[in-house]
Amino acid sequence: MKKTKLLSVVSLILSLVLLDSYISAFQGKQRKSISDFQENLRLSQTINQKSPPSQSKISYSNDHILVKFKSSIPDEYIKATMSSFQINEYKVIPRINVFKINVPENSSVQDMLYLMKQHQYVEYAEPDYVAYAMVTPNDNLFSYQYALYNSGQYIGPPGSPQGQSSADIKATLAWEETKGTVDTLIAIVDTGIDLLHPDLQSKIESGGRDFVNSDFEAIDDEGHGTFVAGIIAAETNNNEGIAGVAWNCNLLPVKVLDDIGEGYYSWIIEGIIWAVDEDVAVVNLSLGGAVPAYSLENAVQYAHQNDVVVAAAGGNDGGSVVYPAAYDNYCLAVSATDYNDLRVSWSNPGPEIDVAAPGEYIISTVPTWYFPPGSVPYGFASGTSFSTAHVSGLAALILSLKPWMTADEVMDVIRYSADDVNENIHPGKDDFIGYGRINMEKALVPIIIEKKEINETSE
Amino acid sequence: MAKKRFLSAIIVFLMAWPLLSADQFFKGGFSTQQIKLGIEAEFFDRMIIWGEEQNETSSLQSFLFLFKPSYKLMEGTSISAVMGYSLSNFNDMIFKELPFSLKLNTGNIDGLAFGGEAVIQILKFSDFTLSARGQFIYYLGFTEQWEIPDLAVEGTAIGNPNWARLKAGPKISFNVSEYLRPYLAANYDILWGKFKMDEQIEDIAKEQEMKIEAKSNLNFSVGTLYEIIDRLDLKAELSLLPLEEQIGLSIVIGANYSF
Repeated sequence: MKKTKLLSVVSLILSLVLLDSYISAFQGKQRKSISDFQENLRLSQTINQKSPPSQSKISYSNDHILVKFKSSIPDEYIKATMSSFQINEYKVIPRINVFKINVPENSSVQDMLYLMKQHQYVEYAEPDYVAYAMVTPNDNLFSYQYALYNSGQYIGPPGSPQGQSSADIKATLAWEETKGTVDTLIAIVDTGIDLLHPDLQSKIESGGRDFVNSDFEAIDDEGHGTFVAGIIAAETNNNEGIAGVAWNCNLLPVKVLDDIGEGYYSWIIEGIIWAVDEDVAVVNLSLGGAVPAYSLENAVQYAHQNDVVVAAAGGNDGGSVVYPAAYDNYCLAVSATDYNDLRVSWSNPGPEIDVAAPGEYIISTVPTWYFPPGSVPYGFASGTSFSTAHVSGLAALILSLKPWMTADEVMDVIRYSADDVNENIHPGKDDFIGYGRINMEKALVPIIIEKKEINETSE
Repeated sequence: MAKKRFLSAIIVFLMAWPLLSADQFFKGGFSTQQIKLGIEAEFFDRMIIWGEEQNETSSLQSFLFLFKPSYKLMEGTSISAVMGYSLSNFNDMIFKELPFSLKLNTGNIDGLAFGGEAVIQILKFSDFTLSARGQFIYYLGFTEQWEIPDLAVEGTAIGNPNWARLKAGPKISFNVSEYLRPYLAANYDILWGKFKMDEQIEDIAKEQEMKIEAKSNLNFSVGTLYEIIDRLDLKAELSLLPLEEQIGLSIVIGANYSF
């Protein structure tokens, strides 16, 4: 975790200067382009402001339809047909000669479609269906979140590396299925959370619990917990900052690490148990120690027995998987990949690793006190802590959609839906990225099963 | 359970009636009681509702190839047993209660179809005949297995569907000629069933049983019987289910040979 912290601080300071100037310089331009976008594409704006329907919902215009007449039918006959149906307003879409016909007032789309389909001159008649864009949040730093959607963009300010397209966790496709529910609670067992952060404030269930200072206000005096919280469930689609993996889920801060990012196992144990008793669905443990302890194992076992999913960081020193991530039966142990879907060298390998998620150069929320006044409270950092946060977000979305699932089932869904991105060198489950880099789409969107039958007698 | 027991009783009764009446058949004359052997093919496409709150829809398409021995009790009144083969297509149903949600795009699922049919003449006036007819068909789908694609491990989905359809209503037919008898009918037409889906992916073993039922329960039919040669008649029938969002339909063609 030390490396995480060190990297965070260095990255944040370097990034601050670059990002702040970059954002200041480009904010005006961005705002202008958003304004142009809003003026020119009101449909897209509307889509961004409301939840697009799922694929199963179909809607279409209730005042016009699309009709194609057979190519052999002369124009006069078409006009006569229009007149016979009292159609006064229509427009021809050139090149393909499809008529966009306004349905007369005394008729309906259904009636007109029925009549048109019966007509001998008509090749086809169909409703004018509504198409929807993929769910893309309007948070102004979303384009830096390669982990959620990687189009091959620069992963940070100019000069930063460029990612490989699709080396992401397929968040935008998964959000079509669910963005989470407010009653799905995720415990951030960490350094606390900045309770006043503008991108987190509305997502924090309560002041939480501080086991370091023995009070009920888990204020972050280090920064790590706030960063993790932003990845999991920053307020999304609010035109500000970043998008959280679990848009609508809420956060419960539990402070078990002090202002230098260290904490006794007893604080962590108490924090886990307290969070479980608060009915959280997921416990995020972006922390770990090199030494096993029965009591720590008992704590994660308690969470597991209560069907709370525990995601834990594998570690950042290239050594063995740390504890509690190494408690294989009770935790999802998470390693880190980068913007090219490659495992990063400092991510700890081991047979306990279940899955991987992006952990290199991740943008997220930092406490508002962290940078000088006038700075934006966001920064970049690397570590399996942040990979773990992506996994916790996915677990929360699964439980939002299917609250009846057991912790074991959720863990299996996350494992089995992963993409084996290193299969060319380590096919199947391996010590480096486990089953692979998580794939939110596969975990959440219904899988289409085709006819290809399994031949039971085949060898 | 009561519904199942009632349906079982109807099936047993309809199938057993020709056998129970065999004694009377052999004692009685061939002049008033006839046996017909028929074959029938039906295609129907109708909207079904399903899901946790029975609020999701998709269409059920089914082909039925039926063997249909009939026993004529008296003029205009007969009972038939129905047995055969069916292909039913449940595409677009989604099983969301499984750990991995599954959407069917598996096409036709084979199965057996059996049941019974009865036609009772109520009134005959001039060339018009008013009858009541009822039919029950039970589709018992075969269990099929499919691969769950694109996962990090191998996974299997095992599906087993069934449905039952009961339709009954009045039918009015008109003797156009000695050979041609068109008819109109209205039917109360209910369909219900379930689809059991089993998901097996390493440690995951979960089952979801989804109830299905038809969206609308009323259909109107137009059809005709045509005797092409002595003792052999053909049947064609088109039914529409107009209350559905997209009109459901059923097309039946068949042939009967009288003994």
